[in-house]
Amino acid sequence: MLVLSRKVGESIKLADDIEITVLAVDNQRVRLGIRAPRHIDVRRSTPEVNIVEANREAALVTDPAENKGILSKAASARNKQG
Amino acid sequence: MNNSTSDKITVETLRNKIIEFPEGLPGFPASRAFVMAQEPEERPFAWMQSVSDPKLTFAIVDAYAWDKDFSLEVDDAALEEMGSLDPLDYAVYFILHIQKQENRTTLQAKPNAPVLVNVRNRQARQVVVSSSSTTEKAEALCLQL
Repeated sequence: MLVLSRKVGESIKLADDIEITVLAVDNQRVRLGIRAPRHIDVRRSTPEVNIVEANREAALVTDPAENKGILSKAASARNKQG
Repeated sequence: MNNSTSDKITVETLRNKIIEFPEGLPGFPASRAFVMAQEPEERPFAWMQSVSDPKLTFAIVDAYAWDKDFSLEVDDAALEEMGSLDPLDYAVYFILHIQKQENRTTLQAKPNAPVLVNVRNRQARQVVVSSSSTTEKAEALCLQL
């Protein structure tokens, strides 16, 4: 891994067309501005992992019959709430 | 993408249809095709059942029905890949986390990773939304049965 230090307002360039600027630093949080061509997919790496965890947590790995009725109950509970 | 897809369009066009995640559903790469199962009385909730693994099911809810103020910003490049730039072509769902405790069941939305479905070609994709006041609000809306 290449490690660089930048001050606020300074940037780094990747290849010819990707520029990453440090916009602000506040305690433990760094705000970055990323300028890149449209075909470059910019992703945050942590939420990606979290989706996998969130999906695994939400997955119902059971016989569908066990969940029967939950959503119709949810729909009527929600209608009562308005 | 601020336009809300009307619940009617979503339900009528996707009920019992198969939607496809070309990249797989994160965490379940083998499950690319899901059936959107919904009884009329379950609206705006529905089940997303894996075609290849019938025991794998997710409970989902129409995002705009769950939180009428919800809005979503999605990169045009991602929409283009899914076949349409028109927000009206998309249904947006939250995956629900169902927790069964002793005598009550809690449903909580996962608003940071909504599922987008192009209702015309039924291409689906889960997108990441960075946490905002909108997603926090949607997450806080808990339903207890």
